[in-house]
Amino acid sequence: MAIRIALAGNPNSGKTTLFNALTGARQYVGNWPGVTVERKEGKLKLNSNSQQEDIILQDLPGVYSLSPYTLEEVIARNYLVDDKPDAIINIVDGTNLERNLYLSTQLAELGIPMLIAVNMMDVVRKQGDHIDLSQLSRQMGVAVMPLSALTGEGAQAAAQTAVQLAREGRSPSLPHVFHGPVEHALAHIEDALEHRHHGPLHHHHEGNLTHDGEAVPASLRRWYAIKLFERDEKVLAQLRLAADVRQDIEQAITACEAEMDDDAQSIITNQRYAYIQSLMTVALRRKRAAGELSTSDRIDRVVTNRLLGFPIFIAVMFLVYYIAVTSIGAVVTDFTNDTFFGTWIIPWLERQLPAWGVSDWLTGLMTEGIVGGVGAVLGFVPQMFVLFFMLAILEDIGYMARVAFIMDRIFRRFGLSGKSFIPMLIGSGCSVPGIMASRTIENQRDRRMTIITTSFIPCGAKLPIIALIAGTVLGGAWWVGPLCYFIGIAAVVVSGIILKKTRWFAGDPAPFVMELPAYHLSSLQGVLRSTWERGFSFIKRAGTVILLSSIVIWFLKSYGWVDGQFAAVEDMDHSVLAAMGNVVAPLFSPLGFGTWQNTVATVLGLVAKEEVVNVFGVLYGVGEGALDLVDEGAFDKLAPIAMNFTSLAAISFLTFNLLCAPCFAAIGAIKREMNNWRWTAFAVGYQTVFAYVISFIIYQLGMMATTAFQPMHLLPLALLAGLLYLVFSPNPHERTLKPQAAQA
Amino acid sequence: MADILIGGLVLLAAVLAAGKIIKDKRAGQSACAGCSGCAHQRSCPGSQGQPHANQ
Repeated sequence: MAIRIALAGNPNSGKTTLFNALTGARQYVGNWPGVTVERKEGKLKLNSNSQQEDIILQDLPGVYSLSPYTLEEVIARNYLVDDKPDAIINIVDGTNLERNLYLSTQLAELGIPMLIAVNMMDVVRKQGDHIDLSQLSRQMGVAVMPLSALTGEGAQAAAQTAVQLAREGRSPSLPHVFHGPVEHALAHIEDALEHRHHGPLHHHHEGNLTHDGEAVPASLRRWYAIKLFERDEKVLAQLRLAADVRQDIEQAITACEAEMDDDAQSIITNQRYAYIQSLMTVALRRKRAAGELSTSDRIDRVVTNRLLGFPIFIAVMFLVYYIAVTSIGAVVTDFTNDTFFGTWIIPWLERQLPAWGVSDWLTGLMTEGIVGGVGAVLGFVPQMFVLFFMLAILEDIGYMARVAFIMDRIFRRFGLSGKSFIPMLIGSGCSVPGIMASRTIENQRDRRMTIITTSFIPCGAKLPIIALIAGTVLGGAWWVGPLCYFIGIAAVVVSGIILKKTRWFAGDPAPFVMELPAYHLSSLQGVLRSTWERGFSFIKRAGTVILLSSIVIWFLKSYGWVDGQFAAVEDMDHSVLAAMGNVVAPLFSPLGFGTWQNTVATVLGLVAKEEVVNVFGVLYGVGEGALDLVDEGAFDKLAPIAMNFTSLAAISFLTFNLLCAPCFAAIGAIKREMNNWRWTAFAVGYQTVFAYVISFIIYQLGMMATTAFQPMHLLPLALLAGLLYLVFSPNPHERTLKPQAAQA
Repeated sequence: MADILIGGLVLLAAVLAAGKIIKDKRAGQSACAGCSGCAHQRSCPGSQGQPHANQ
């Protein structure tokens, strides 16, 4: 039988980092709270596992307590109480000991062998603080060990101790958290559970029930007593106490409340903190005087400043997209497109294939179809890697957590909370996990709205579209990349305002409380790993979906009906692809890009957003030096693409492709999270109509500015007026949408 | 002969790509590079209850 060890701790205390270090897994680690929504398991790799036992490590979502209020708390608590792991490694953040021990006092009450691993000890030492681990161990009645999950220091020792504790199966001695009337009431409740409760425990969640039909197990009696004292509804429903027992317990609680002049939950919380405070006086010696600001606090005074926070965020994201799309990223992408594919691979294939006797059509398929299409997408992978690398650094040092805090102030005014920005941050890599991350939002209306708006933030796959249009049509303009990011944010804000005025989404956003992690230097290994894992999906897709569609697109653009016969066509306009595209193209004519080529690119973007670039790659051979031609200013040589777009049409095309329905995979994620086809259809419909309206307004108003007024210009003006009305008209459902961001 | 060889290679690549797409689709991972980098792997249909570490 395998030994099961649970990793439990506060959000962002380093559980997943330790999990990865001990299992060799590569779970996503983010420097903001709430990264782990589900519990995950892996096999523990011990340096000295002489008995060769299976040791399973469970990474639980970060929680502040074992109360039943959030999804993460319920997942963690159900696992600990029902599945009863053989041991718990409770990771506490050494730089935030006081707050982290609040959970530790609750975990110790579960009667499961437990080890407290004080993480970030390297930072504690660096700050000049001292934690007396042996004193902490004596007071808490559990083993306490130092740890630095990031460097791996102490990880193996902690794991070995936890395995030892699991083998011994010795419950920790209960810390003396409660006293006076509370202890008296708890003893009374424990007594009632021991002697008078004989009914079956009723579990209403996922299986693995071990004590159905039995009384409360002795090891869990204390925990149940405290939960009953707190009047925890889930526990009350689970125990199904007899009416007289319940009445006795209620009397004990009421008497205690009367004596302490407070409600039961507050009494428990206060006594826990009082106990932790007493621990702090004997176990923690701080170098910094009370009230003195830490380095992180000083940085935050500027970075999260009410006035400076948002401009700094804009500047940072401008810089990130500028570097990724225009400078460093573009240099590497130019090399890949122009030198690697354009100078080496394609000319070599064009020389060699005919020399080997390969027929013209197959040479065309290889060079124009496969290498042109796949190469066009792969050519932009370096830019994606640069973008992901910089986002990973921002995330790792702790800045992205601040962004959620900064955005909360703005989002809250428009009916969304900063909690909605976390899915959007994740969605900047890929919309699928971004949409799935919305499940941490408890309020269903806010959750639905976040799901609908998350894909407005450009995902990695949209980066090639941005780079392609910026590079080939807009003369390599540096502002296009950052602008697209902010168009995404603006779309979220505008949608938030509009949707909140409907009865389906009306209501105040949920309060947003987020702990800001201390800034720390990035670990290069962690940043590179995160960059690779995000970027690899695009390489993988280039080898699967893009490869297949390149072949199909090449055939469809190379063949058609000539004089009533199906044959190769000289002119792509006579191809099957052109015939298909021409059916839908009129829809996009009012947006300025109603050619069949642009239509095919846009529609195939539903398969994967990189398809947009792939289509242009196959049709025009973007991989064959197009960007180089832009650098040389040789726009006339770019006739095929450039003739497809005016600058205005290019911006309209870019806007539509950024905001319209995401790829099928993301639509599937929307369906899973909405769990309702009607809501899924609404989300996709809203995104597409919103994108169409915005692109229509941009293009038609742009045309209006450059051409003489025509009656049809009234339509975009009317649409703009309607949009502005929806944004600025009073919210009929508004009660108190006031900023109320809280910083823990 | 060259056509058969190169055409065969293209066909093989296409079949392998299609196979991979179908396999990923069945595993519910059509959208991503796999579960290792994802915080939500447990909600992937293909990874329910599947420990991905050290498999």
